[in-house]
Amino acid sequence: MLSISNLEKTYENGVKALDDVTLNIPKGLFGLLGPNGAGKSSLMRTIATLQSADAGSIVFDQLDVLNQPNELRSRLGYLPQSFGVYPRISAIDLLDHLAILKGIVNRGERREVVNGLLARTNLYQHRKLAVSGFSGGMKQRFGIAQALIGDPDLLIVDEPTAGLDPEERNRFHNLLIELGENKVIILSTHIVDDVSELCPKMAILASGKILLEGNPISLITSLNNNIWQKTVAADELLELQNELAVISTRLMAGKTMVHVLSESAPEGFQSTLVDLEDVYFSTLYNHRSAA
Amino acid sequence: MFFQMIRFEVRYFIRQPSFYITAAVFLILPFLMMSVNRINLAGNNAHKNGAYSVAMMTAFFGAFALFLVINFVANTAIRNASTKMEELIYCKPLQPAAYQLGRFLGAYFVVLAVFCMVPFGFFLGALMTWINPDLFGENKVSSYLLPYTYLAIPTLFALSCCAYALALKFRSMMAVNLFAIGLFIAYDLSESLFVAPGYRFIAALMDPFGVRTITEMGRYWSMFEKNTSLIVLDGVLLQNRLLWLGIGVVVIGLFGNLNRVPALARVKRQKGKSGPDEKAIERLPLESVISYKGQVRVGWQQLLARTRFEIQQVIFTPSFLILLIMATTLMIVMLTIPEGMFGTAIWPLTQSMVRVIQSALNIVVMIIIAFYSAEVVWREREAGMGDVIDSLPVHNLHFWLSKLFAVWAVVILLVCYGMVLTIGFQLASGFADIDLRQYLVSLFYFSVLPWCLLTVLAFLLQVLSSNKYMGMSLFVLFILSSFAMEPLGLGHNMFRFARAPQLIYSDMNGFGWFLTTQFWYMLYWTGLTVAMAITGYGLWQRGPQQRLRQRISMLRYQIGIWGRRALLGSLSIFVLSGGNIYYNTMVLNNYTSPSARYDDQANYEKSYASYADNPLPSITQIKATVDIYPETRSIVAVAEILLVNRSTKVIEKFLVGMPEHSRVSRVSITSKAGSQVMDTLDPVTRSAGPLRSYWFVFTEPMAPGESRKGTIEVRRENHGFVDSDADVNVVRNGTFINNAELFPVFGYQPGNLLADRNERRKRGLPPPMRAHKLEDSRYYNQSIFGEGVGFIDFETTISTTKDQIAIAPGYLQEQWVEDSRAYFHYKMDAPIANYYAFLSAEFEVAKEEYKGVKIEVFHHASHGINMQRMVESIKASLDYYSESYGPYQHRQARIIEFPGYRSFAQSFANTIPFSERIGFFSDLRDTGAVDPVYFVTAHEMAHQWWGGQVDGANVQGNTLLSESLAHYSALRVSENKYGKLHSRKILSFELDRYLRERTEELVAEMPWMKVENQAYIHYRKGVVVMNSIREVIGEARLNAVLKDYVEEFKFKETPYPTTLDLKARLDEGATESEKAFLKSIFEQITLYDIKVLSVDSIEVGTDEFEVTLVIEAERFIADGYGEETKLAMDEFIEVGLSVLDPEQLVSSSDIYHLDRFRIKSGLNTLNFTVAENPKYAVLDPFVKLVDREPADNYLEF
Repeated sequence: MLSISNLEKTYENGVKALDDVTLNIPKGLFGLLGPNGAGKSSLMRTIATLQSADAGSIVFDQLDVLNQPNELRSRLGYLPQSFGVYPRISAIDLLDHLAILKGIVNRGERREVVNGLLARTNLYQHRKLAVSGFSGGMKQRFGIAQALIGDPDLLIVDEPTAGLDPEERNRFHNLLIELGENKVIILSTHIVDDVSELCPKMAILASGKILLEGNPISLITSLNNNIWQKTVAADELLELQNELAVISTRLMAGKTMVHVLSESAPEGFQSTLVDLEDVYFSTLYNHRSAA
Repeated sequence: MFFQMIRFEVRYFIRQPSFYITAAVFLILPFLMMSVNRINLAGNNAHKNGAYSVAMMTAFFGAFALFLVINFVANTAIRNASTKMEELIYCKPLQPAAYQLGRFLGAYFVVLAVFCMVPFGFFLGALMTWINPDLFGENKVSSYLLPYTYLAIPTLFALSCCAYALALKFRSMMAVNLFAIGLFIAYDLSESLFVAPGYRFIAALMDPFGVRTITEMGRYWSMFEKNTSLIVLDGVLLQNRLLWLGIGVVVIGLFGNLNRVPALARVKRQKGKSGPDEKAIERLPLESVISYKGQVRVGWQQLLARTRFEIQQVIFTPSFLILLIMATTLMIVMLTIPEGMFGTAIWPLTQSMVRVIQSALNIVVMIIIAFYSAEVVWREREAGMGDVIDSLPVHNLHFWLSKLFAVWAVVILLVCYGMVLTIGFQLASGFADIDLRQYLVSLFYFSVLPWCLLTVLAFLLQVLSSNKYMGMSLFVLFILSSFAMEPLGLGHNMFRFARAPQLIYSDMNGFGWFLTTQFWYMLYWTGLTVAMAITGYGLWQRGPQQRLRQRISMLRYQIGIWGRRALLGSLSIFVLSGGNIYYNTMVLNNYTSPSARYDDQANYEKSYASYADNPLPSITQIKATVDIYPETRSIVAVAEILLVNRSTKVIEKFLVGMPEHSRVSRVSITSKAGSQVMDTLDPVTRSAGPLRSYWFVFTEPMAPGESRKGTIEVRRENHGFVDSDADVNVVRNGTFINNAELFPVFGYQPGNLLADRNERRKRGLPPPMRAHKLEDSRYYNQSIFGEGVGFIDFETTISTTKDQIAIAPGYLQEQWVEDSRAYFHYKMDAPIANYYAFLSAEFEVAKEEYKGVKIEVFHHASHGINMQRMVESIKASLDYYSESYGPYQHRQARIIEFPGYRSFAQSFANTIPFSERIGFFSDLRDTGAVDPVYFVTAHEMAHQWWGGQVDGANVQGNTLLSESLAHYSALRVSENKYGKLHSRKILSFELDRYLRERTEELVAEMPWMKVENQAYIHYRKGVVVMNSIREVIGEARLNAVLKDYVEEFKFKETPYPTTLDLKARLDEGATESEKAFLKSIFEQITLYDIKVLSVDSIEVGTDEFEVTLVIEAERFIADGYGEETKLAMDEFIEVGLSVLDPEQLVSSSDIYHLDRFRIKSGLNTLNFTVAENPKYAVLDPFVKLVDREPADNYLEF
């Protein structure tokens, strides 16, 4: 449905944001994982017609996104990573205005869409307040609501759950699952759980490169028996990092739990259940050691 | 902490590029101002590096430094909020006073450091090698350092304090920007509020920048003083500086948050509902369908929604309200300030209302365009909503148009608002002749349309810029560049975006040709603007990272096929209408840039100056047939002339200057040998010199005393339209053309010479010679009009369209209609100066016969309001002048109105054309004000004697004999009607103008007797000193002298009189002291400085008060450059008492106990007793002396 081929982008300051990115994204939810500065937002913005690429192409449903941005926009929903709003305008008015701009010109339809979205993002009771006065979480929900106007075929959400409490995050996940059947939804995040909970397909992006792509479950399976775990004291850690492929460390009850990537169990390590986080960290580890 | 904060601020700004950019700007601008010879703010003869001039320019940059203050000080004040650092900073243990003062002073020091560049730039500029040494004196370091110390340091301190406090209070740059704009506008406004002499001290005291303070201190300074005296910190300057330092300290002390720990802004509770709508949860519309798809082709609905949204965003803001308030104050101030002569009000004509709106709004609209364009174009990005909005399916065009409409709406609303305001003012003033059509056309077609085009330019610049400040700066740069176009030779309106020839509206001639020029120029600029608009929306920025290069690559896609067609179409309109403008202004007509015209003038002088004194044939008789065609603005004129060689030499050849705008002009002169023709169409004689000059070479030279007949033929036509210098002589309704414009002129014309000294120097010409020496008797046989132009016999037949009346000097002999054209035959029975005019317009006529003289006023139908006053003045003039100076030479006196393209009144023989701007609209309802209608009419009538009967010789002083005498005569006539107080007002007004304008002298001030056509001498000073001569020798004696003088020189050509003749007659029978007095007035530039030092009155009995006055007096004579020498003084001066403020006297009897006292140099103490307790003592209340400082001539008890 959405195919990205050989996308390249280098900023004026020399940072290579996208380095030969090729991805094929089918209908449904697609998770894009990556650390800070990996190029996720650059990729999202490029797909959302807000940024051009130096080379490569993006085709969505036979539409050349880079050269026909106007045509894509009527099928697009986009939630940027961070955004502001016009001052002194209430949620319902602003959403209504955005709905007109999205092309929902029928007054009745528009009222239904606006109210429905406000209800689903749990903002209906706050609809008459200015969005500029919203708390972080409320504003994020407003962002989600606006991205969903007009039932977009391509929904791009950049860090959507940032700032949401667990209850709202759940509500949003359910909404995405509900919507996700007939459209392409790209979810960019650095929270691994978001992807593991929602996405049948995913990719890991770092330094502008796609490091890994696939189905989370099969990716996890492929790492089975390759991840080992040990609880160590803080002063042992440095030594371990020099000797073994330590992909992640995590504190647990004052001790450090270390995960290493290895074909066989190193001494003192025990096997552990592989999860998506291990896939993510091992991918990043491999990428870093290769560099 | 205090010092660390200072250091932090200084180091912070030193790392910002803005520090270096502003420093560069504040170095380069002063450098250019000093080193570019063309720029000279100080006045013409003042040294640019003189103390006064440098102080003035420093003060000027002090005002400009408001931008520095905003950039640094306000930035410091709101930096915590704007960079969202507040939460990090305010949790630290701060000492408020040290923290705030430290930051404030740090930023202030940075401002001071940048401003150091200003004196440095001046200094460097003065060292350059290309400067014109005439404009510079000795380069003294103190001239640069002193103004920095006492002007810049306090000014910047006060401004910084205000900006810091405001920024702290409102936490917004907008508030500070509005403060700056408000300050500038208020400053601009108060300029006109404070012109009245009584307010100058307050203006000087209040001026935050010190510009008016310096102006006030040097108001009457001569060039010499301006160049040599340092401005010292005392008097009003000291008070002003202390005042502003004080204001600064108070503001920062009270509002600088010095004793409050910095804290976050309190979060405002949202208006309306205070909390969530709890009930709504129960009826949550969760079932609503949210899957409606957007429609694709809904452009106009999106445009509508966007436009409504943008307009709301612009109009419902505090800044719009503030702009509205500014515009209102500006207009109200301009409406209430009288713009008439002598400060007398004029009726609120629609054309002046339109000018008020245009000039009040021009600056406001420029601010709106610069400022709102930036706000509106960058709105989404500033609000952080850019990514959301830009990814919506809205075409660039709709964003572009809706934003454009919003700014246009603001402009249009403001203009409509101005219209409502001025119409209200017209009605409130009792003026009901409201010309709605003129309002709409002048305002919307001539002002709003170009403003709308400028908005598109501002938008395009914003779209091309990488941030809004860059876009704003580019636009401001564009506005400023308009000053550079003329010098760069790009003065033609075709090179000046959105410009067209500037409309001058005339009630008589309506919009005239301006509707045509406006149409073509606006078509031309609109063509370009549409193309710019298409490019603009094509390059519209979407998304934060789109560089211009990338947007250009998408241009074709964004504008689409219709956009490309429209682009092509609009560019074709631009090119085609440009072609038409080019054809009209450059092919059908000759566009000449000012500098090309100066070149022509210089070449004229270089080619012909050596022939200046060549003998010329004089015209002694004219019989002209003049056919005026107002519809086509053309004239066909044929004149039979009689030429005489009055000189003692044989005339071989003479110079002929052919008239402008003429397709054909021909001079033929018949000698015994036959007729000799010179024709502009004839290829042989066509070899014209500069300024259409030809040599008429006699095949048979003209012997002394010989006379010949000749013919002059001219076909004057106007084709197409011109960019500038339109022919305002011949128009649809209101033709007024004099013989020098219409017919070829003979001989070398000093009037053609280049006058500007710098322009002359550039072209290698010596300083200008303004007049022949008074003693040079070679020129005593030439009239004021030069060689060969003397008195003539005059007769003419004029024809025009049937609905118009044509007028020329002379008496109407016959009047008839033929082929639906009206014919008028005029003939003069007495000689007239060879200076006459032809007029034609639709007139209404007010007629009256008075003592055998037919008085007629020809005026535009709606301009009859002051007719009676003009007629009265003519009658009073006839009475007084015939009685005092001798009989009137004509049997009629006519005033004829002409369109306001030119604003003067001029006296031809029995014919006085008056511009529609003079007198016809004075509002004479205020009986306390000067009556300019009466005065000007009497002045022009006096010219029937002074100029009409007696003309001065062509040497220095000749304008004394015409203008000073006419001005004085008018003063007599109006004093007879309105009394001494009326004269006091006129004289105070004229004295002030003399004192101010003498400081602007280009070459050298001449003594009255040797005036070289200097208006401030022959009018302004002339009327004051003539009046004081009358005071000293008495009106009867003066009039007897003038009558005697008229009798001797009436119509006399060999020789014409000079000021020596007048003075000799005055000296006859005068006492020694009178002679000394006359000498001091005629031959010297005499100035007095008298002032009341102290006053005291003691009640010594019932209704008896002993008054003691201490008076200081000095007398000086000045040289032409203003260097003064003290002279002993011993004169009788009038001293009076008053119960009213001398600025607000109601009748001349308010000055009582008027007596003359002998006053000597130095201190004088006067004692006398009066019956009434006095309130004011007034020296010289009726303005008999040329006193340097009239404001200190009275004092309150």
